Amino acid sequence: MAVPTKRVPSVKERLAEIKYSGVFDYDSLYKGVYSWFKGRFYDVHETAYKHKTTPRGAEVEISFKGERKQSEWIMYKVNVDFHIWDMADVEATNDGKKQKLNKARMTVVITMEAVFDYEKRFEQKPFYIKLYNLLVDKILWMKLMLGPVDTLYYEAYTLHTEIKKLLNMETAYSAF
Amino acid sequence: MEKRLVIKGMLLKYEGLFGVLDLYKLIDDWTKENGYDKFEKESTEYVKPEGKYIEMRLEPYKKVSDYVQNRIVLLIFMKDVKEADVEIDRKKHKLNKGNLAINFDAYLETDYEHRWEQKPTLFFIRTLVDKYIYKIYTQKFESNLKNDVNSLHTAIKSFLNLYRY
Repeated sequence: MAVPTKRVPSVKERLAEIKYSGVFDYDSLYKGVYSWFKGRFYDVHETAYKHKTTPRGAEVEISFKGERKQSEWIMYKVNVDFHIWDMADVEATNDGKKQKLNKARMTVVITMEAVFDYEKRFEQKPFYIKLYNLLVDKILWMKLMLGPVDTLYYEAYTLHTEIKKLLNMETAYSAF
Repeated sequence: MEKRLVIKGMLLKYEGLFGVLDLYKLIDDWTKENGYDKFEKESTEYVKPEGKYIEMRLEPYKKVSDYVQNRIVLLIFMKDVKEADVEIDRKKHKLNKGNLAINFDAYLETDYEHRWEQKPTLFFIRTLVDKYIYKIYTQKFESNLKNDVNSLHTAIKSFLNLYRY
C-alpha cells in the first residue's frame, strides 16, 4: 500500500520583487534588513554571500533566511535575496555633510512560507498523515489562510516597505 | 483555475504635476478600504539624469467567495519624474513632475484553489455548472468587479485633476 503524503505541507509565495538603480547606502540597507529580522524575533541566517569584482564594479549576491516558530504547529519563514551589479563607491553631499554612499543596480526578491507541522508529528504514522490532510485541506483551510498565513503575508510586506525606505524609493509606503 | 478577462486595456495618461508617493498612497488606501488584498508583484525605480523612471505592477485581489476571486492588474509607468517645488495657498509643497501612464486590467478568477481540477469528472462538472447554472452569479460578480475598477479609475482621475490648477 502506498504511503500517503501531506497534500499541503506549507503555503509558499513569492511576495514581491524590487528593482532599483541609483545611489543608496549599502551599510544601512544591510543593517536595516538584519534589524528587521532581529526586531521580530526571527532566527536569521545569511545563507549566501558572493562578492565578485568586475571592471564595471562589484557584483554582490546576499541571501537572508529568517525562521520563527509562531506556535507549536506553524513556522514562519521569510527569505530575502539581493543581487547587486556594478556597485561602486560614490561621495554625496547631504545638508552640507559629505557621505560615503554606493551606486549600483539591484534586484531584491522577497518570499514567504508558512510551514504547518514543522516538527513532523503528523508524519509518524500513515493514519496521522490522512488526518493531517483532512484537517488542513478540508476543515481548517480557511481559518489558516485568514489567520496565520495572512499575518505572515502582511508582516513580510512591512519588510518590503522597509527595504523601499532604505533605498529612498518614491513609493515607500504601506496602508496595511 | 479559470480566468475571465472582464476589463482590458483601460488606459489613463497624464503629464504634469503630481505626487508619486501620494498617488501610491491613494491606490494602497483604496485597496485596503475596498477589501482587497495587496499584491505588489514588481516595483522598479531607475535614477537617470533626465529624471526617475518608475514602473510598478500591482495585482490587488479579493476573494469574493471560496470559488470566485477578483483580480485587478495595474501597470503603472512613470517617466522623467523630477522633483518640483510648488506654492499652493501660500504654502510650499514638494511634488513631482513627469509623465504617467496607468493600464487597468481586471480578471474574474474561478476555482482559484484548484479544487475542481483534480479529476477529469470534477472538471467536466465544473464546466457544466459554470456554463448553465452559475452564470447568473458570475455575471453579478463581473458587474461588481467592473464597478470596483471604475471606482479606482475615478479616484485616480480626481486625484490627478487636483494638481491641474
